[in-house]
Amino acid sequence: MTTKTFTPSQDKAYDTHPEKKIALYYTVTGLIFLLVGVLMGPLQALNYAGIDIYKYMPFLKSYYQGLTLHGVLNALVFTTYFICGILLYIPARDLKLRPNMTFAWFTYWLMNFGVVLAAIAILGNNASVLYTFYPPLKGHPLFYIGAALLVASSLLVGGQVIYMWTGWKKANPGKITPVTAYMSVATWFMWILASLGIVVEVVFYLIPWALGWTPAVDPLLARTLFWYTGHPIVYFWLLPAYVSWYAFIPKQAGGKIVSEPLARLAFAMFLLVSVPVGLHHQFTDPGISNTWKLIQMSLTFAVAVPSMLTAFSVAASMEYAARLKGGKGLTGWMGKLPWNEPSFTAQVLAMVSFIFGGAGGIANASMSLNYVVHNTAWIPGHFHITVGTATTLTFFGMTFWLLPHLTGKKLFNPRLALASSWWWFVGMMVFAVGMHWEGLLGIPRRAHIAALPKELLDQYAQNAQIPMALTGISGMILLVAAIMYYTVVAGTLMQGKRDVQNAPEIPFSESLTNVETRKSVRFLDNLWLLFAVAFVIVLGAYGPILWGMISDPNLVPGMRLW
Amino acid sequence: MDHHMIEKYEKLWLYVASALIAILVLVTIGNVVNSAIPSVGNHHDHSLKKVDLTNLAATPFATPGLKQNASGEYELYMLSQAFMFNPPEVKVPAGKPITLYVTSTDVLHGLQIEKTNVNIEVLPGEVAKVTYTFKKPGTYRVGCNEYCGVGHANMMSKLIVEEAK
Ligand code: HEM
Ligand SMILES: [Cu+2]
Ligand SMILES: [Cu+2]
Repeated sequence: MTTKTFTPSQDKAYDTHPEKKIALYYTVTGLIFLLVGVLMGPLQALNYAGIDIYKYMPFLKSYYQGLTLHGVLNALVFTTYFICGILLYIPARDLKLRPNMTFAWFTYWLMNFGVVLAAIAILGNNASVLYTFYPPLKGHPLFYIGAALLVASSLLVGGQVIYMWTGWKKANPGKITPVTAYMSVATWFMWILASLGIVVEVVFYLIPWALGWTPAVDPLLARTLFWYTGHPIVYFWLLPAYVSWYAFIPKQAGGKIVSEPLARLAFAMFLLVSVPVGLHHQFTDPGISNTWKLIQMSLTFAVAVPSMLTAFSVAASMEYAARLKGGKGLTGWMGKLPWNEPSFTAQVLAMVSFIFGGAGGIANASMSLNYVVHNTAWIPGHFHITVGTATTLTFFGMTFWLLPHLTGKKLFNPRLALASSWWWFVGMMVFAVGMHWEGLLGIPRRAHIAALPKELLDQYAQNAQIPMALTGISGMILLVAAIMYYTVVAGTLMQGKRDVQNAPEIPFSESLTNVETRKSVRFLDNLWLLFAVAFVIVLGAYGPILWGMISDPNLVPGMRLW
Repeated sequence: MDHHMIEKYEKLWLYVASALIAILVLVTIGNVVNSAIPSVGNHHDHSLKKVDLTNLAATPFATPGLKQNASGEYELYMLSQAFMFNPPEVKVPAGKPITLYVTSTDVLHGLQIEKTNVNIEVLPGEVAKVTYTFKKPGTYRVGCNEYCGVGHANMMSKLIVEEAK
């Protein structure tokens, strides 16, 4: 790699690659916001165990203010920062190009500005509307403006990556995009298409309404636009983890990517069908016909296929690596994997979690089963083993090489890093059992049940003691996991000493297959074309629904009920 | 294991996965079309799709509760409002199809009836319609499962299913 040919001064980590610094700032800022959000989690877990300690939290006006912080910071803010960091840096390095640094820093500060505005609204208890902010609950305008700026800056980062890649294509006619860059760019194209819903909702409807310029909004239209983005946003969280699983895990396991063409196919499929599926969050909504719900349900299931491909390919790559090291037997090869490596182990645990999360997701997405679980505690049970583990634990695993790579500082206490990954995994598994179970017993999500009068709480608790206890315990396990993980991060960053020359490289894997000669791969490299096709599919699956709502609106005024 | 072998297995897996998914889709569509679930629909026969919240007096929601229509079928009109259901307690006969019409007067709410598959997102002004037959008499908890404000968790009521006379 290029770093080796320079002899940078040992304490100047960013001389050869100033883009390392922006990647570091994005990822670490994201982690700091996550810390604040995650500290709310155990309080919520205790609530679902029937234990109320909010009265001892003077800085929170209500359970719902804390829950707004938790959802917004974890799901929206942390993910966006971290992804902007890695999906700007990694494709740039793969293409051997440098982003325009002035622009990159501009996007970073714009994002900070947006988050500060939203934070002012939430911390003042003026936007306890939860991270879904369904109108007509009406938050402070700064909340919506901040959210819009957060999304806008992520789109600018995506635009910068696509711009770099387009330049690379021009400079390298006839060449196929390297696989890691390909996956990253496809993810950005997907996000640009996916974000349209929330952008239109917030910019055209909610901001003018919150500012008092328009008197009323249509709650169904707003919900539909929200979920237009709200489902594919989960692929925006998931695909960067897939990038790591496909492109880095083989190398980290000591092998190669066994099926690069399929990795590309999976990402192309995500670009094509990720977006027109949001109605599966609205199966129980009035005002939308079952025909459209079923069409989008079918598309939702179609998006499960590339995930199943990923499971196969990633497992095959690990098996290949283990057999190279002499691993034998049907499952015996697994022993040859580098389980003492925190980065590897964290990510494999994230994958295991995603097997359960994916299976649960298929239940949620099927219109008949959804009636059983919609808006119950089952749902947070589901997404803590998807975004809360598959994505988050993968990102934790990535930081174990990324932070040393970016800063030249050694990973602080790798054994603690390994332990934190196991604790997180076990904590989330227990959490998932507790919450899924509570959901099946009809306990609603987003409910401050621990503060209910005893006879009302007992209506929930009478047959739910075991799952409620599990949820409470999991919150404590996760608190320990978080403390361990953040000790590793802080310990790593706060060291004075750098050893830039011996810092770990980006673990780009080699590929077992030569793709240059493959027609299918060459075709899939036309990401602009796939993007256009995806756009047409979205128009077909959403156009008529949205048109129906816009032409027959149901307007209601806003309200503050917290 | 060389990569040709792996690719063969991989293709096989792709077909198996796609087939599994296709079966799931077909079964679910079958369930919905045959009304095996009490789905929230915008059915063609559903004339009361929206109501004007400033003029509820002109709609059956003016007097929420259980009614029998001209052909003797049971219709239950319910309002969700911060932070209660109206009527707060309601009695319905077992073994008879009950058609529930529900809307909200203020913000989003949910309406879930325990031990059933009745689960509705309640939007202000939009009328959701669901038909359900209670087989077993007893008391069923009705809860709001969509965040609606500080009183959200307290928004619970009862549905009492009585032996049909
Ligand atoms: C210490 C670890 C964590 C614990 C103990 C925890 C606990 C919880 C609990 C109990 C709920 C349900 C609250 C309710 O429905 O009333 C919840 C909601 C949620 N959590 Fe976590 N969580 C943790 C980490 C995370 C992470 C890492 C993410 C995402 C990256 C996340 C994202 C969310 C989201 C989006 C919600 C939904 C908020 C809403 O319904 O408005 N959580 N969490
Ligand atoms: Cu979804
Ligand atoms: Cu509620």
